[in-house]
Amino acid sequence: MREYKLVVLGSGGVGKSALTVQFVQGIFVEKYDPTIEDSYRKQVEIDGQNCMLEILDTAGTEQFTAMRDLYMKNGQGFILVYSITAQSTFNDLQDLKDQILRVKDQADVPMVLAGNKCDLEDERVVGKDQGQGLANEWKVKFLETSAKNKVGVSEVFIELVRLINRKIPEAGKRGGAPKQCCALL
Amino acid sequence: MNPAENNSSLQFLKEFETPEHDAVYNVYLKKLSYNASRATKSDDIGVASVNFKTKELKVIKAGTLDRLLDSLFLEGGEIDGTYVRIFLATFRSFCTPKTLTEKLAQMYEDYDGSEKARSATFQQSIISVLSIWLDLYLQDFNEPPSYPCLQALRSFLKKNLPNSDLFNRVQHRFSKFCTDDDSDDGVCVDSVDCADGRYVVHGRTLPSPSKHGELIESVEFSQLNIRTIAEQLTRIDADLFIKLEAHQCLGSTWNQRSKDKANECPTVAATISMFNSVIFTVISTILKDIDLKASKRARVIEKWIYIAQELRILKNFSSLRAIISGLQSSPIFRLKKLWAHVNKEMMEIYTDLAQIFSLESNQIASRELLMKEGTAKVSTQTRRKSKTNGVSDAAMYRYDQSSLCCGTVPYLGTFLSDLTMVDSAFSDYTDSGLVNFEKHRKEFEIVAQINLFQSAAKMYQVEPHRRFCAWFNSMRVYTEDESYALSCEIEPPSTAEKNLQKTISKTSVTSYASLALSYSNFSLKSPTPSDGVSIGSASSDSAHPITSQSSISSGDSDGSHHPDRRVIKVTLLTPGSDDVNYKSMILTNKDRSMAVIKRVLEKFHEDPGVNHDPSTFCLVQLTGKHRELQFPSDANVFYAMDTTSPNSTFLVKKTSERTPKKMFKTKSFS
Ligand SMILES: Nc1nc2c(ncn2[C@@H]2O[C@H](COP(=O)(O)OP(=O)(O)OP(=O)(O)O)[C@@H](O)[C@H]2O)c(=O)[nH]1
Ligand SMILES: [Mg+2]
Repeated sequence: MREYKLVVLGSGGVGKSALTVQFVQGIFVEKYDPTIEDSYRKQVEIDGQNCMLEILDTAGTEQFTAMRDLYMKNGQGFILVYSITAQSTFNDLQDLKDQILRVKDQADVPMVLAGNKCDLEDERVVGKDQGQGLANEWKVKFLETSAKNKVGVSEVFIELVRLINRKIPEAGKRGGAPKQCCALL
Repeated sequence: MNPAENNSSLQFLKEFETPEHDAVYNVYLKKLSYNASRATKSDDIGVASVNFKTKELKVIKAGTLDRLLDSLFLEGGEIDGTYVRIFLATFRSFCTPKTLTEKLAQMYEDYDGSEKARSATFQQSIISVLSIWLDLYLQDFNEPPSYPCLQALRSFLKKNLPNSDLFNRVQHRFSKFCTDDDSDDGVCVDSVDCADGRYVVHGRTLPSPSKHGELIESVEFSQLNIRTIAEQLTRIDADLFIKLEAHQCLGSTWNQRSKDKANECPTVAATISMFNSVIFTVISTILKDIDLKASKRARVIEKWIYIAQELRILKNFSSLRAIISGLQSSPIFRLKKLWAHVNKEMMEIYTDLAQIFSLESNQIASRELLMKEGTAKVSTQTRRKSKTNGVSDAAMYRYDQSSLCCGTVPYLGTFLSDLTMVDSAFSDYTDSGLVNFEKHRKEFEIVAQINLFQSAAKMYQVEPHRRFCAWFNSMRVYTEDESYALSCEIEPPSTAEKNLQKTISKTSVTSYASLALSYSNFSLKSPTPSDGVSIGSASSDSAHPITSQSSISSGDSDGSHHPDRRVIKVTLLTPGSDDVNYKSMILTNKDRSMAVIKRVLEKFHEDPGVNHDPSTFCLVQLTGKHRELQFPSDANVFYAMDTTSPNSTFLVKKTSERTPKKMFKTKSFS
């Protein structure tokens, strides 16, 4: 079974943990408990393939961000999350994206942009067009999500796995370790 | 034929409990080697010599007070010097000074009359113990207003040995205590002696009139030179450290158990107060002038780094650490733009110095340094070595001829941690209610180290500097909240920072209670400066050692700066939680196993209902291949955990359950 290392990034409180836990365990976490670094795994079938996802839920709060470089290096795909109810969380993403590109030292890194908390339409400050605009500029996929109402949650993760598949197609059905694949490149 | 003591070796034989169940001993076989060359001379029939003889040696492990007192004396009635030292350093947790005096007096009188020669030796030994006690721990007897302990001792001596030297000394002490009641004999909790009088270290506010009545001149930080500041801090630190009564550092005295610490451990409190004072001063000097340009403000940081470097050369690890803590406190640390202005070379020195106190592997770096240089004079070798710790050869050379460099002031927090660790690892009493003396032997090992460094601290010779004192004592310092507010005025906080403050300030611990003397209220909020520099700024390519070091073990990224907290990874082993590899959480030095288990259950969203009663779970640390360390439910996890295997995982599981094999492989991204 192919393994995927996915990293969820974004400012504090945007709902990274809520999205991850909703996807992995199917529950919505109401309580805000700032994350330091949590790791989950989930097996899913995507396009007829069994995949093992290892998902790293990271800290949005600045005090814990020292290990960012490390997990950026090891991650294969990234979900960048902001909250549609807070402009600053949207603005913060540019720096994060730049850091990913710098650490990975590649131009094409599988990434998905997620505008979370879309159930809170009344409190919206970041327009859908703004999100789409940024995604176009970065040339990445964009989705609005709600961890609370289960909107777009699994789509975000599945999209990301597809992007990774497209970038690094698996060599063979079995035994095609990514290592050999890299050796060829 | 003389047995050569130093060649003797101990071999454990058995444990032995008295028939009365009032003491437990370890029995050792002691081999006494004999000098063979002497033996050959005396014998002309043939070469016959005894190489060694084996004797049994009983060492008390636990016992009632009476049995412990018996152990003060060897079989013939002489005192057991080592044991006496350990006993006197640690008895306060199981016996008051007054009881001890009375007990010893009683023993003395009980011996009277029986077997003449032997009881004379015993009695002489009891007097010796009393005399050593008075010499080493005078403060035990300083209990105004009625001095019950000294009184008891005096009347005992008056009755039995009215002409003795000891009686005279006690008499003298008594009148001395009584006449200068608030004398210099103790250490005043919150005052530091300076040339012109004494000032309160903590909570200093305005310039106060000196002894002579004139107003102390106002002195600015910028007017004092680096070396003066370093030397003067060292003078005060050394003075406080020399006056430290090491037994006040024992876990039972210092630790959470006693509420009114300042009263019971005035000498420890004085050191902490000074330490905090330096931290506050560092912060205040940097924040003081709100309108200062960042480039100018950076010079203040650089000056403190220079001072830290001087302190490193002076081997004053106390103020050195305080300065580093001040620079790492959140109001200073968070000022990214300011740090970007700090000269690159200074930044490197700073990082090197900070590295000394990194938490990695139980502060091995600072311990090794201390051991290596602590009690020795600076040697060529250490000078070369120390270059890697932020000291240039040239800087070192300046001190070569000076008498200053022979002293040492260690960072007290290291010893306090060690003693707290011993305190939480060993119980005071055995299951059968005997005093656990093994614990006190362990404690004494650390107390003896402190004593060793105290003699090293006496080597400094620095005269008080009037203008320094004027400055240090009159420096306006800010409260933590004030500093944070000032800091935010200088560089407004980001949204993330604001969020964090909201959620975290509630859980913060008070700085005084933190045994590592660290400034934890601030440190909780502090990001690393390297972080600040590396995100989205031009200088991001210059990898600062802090980042590269601390990010290696992701579990330590936060903890590396904080002696009283670290990040651990935990997994919960329940049928439903297979999909979580691990979650990270902060472990503080106050966390006991049960509290950790409760928090883990919460973190994993488990309802503490019938199925999830915390007491049915246990906490283990997976420390490598098939090894696990299980914590008793009241263990202090912070101190009990194995810190030598970085990145090891913790597991919370049902007490009845066995750890599955697959758990031993750490699942992590790296
Ligand atoms: N209404 C609504 N609330 C949400 C949604 N997602 C998350 N939240 C809430 O927002 C708060 C923060 O969510 P978290 O998932 O903990 O945020 P985070 O991004 O993981 O934060 P850090 O771990 O500090 O980086 C919680 O109280 C959640 O219940 C959502 O889609 N809709
Ligand atoms: Mg989170």
